[in-house]
Amino acid sequence: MAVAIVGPAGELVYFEKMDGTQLASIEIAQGKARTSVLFRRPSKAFADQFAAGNRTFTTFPEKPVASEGGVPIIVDGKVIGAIGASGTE
Amino acid sequence: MRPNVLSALSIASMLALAGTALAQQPAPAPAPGPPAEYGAPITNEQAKAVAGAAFAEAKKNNWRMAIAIVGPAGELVYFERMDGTQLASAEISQGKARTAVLFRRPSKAFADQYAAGNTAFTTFPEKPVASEGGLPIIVNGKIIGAVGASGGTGQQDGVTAAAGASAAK
Repeated sequence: MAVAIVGPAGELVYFEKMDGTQLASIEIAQGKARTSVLFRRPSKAFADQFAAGNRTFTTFPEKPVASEGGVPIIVDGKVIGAIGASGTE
Repeated sequence: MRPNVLSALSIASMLALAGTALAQQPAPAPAPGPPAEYGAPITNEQAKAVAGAAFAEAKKNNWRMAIAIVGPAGELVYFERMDGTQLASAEISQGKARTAVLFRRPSKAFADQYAAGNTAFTTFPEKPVASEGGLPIIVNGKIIGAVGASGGTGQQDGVTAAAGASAAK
């Protein structure tokens, strides 16, 4: 797994990659975290929309990563960031 | 025959003089050795040791830093940012590390070239970050990755990166 943690503006705060993780996951993990915090929802929401044929979000300036594994981090009712994970098949 | 002997002698003496003159010229600077070869990518454990040493140096000096560690192909392996670090440093630290590993030299080399007016490298497809604070990580003579530090002055970033790079085993 590669795990990325971003702040409320999508800025990278932490990243770590386990040995042997596929290299594409480096960007995907960061993208999922960014998607989650900037849209304040799990990245899976976009995967579900994509599967349902609703794909206009692919035209957004900030392109959501439509894949499960990005979740907002909420503390005391506030979104303080998000975490994204990527690596498994 | 005599003139030929004379000319042969004079040629010999000219050659001897020329040899003396060549010997008196300063020896050219030794050619720099070939850069270290790339090795196996830095492991997660090695990256954490590098980051730990870099952050220890930053904390000791009350500097707020972002530290990025990449593998031999420039791939991000580890990133961490201290609270209060300027946000631009997230990208800059990654760029410095990438520069150091892909060109197998400290990112300061590009800062020096830039300062000397040699700025053609700004046209490279892979754009070097011309700023101190990116260093290759060399273990057993192989480049296994690089560390980039950003958040302070160039000199502070360089000290932080060096503390990290020297901790690699």
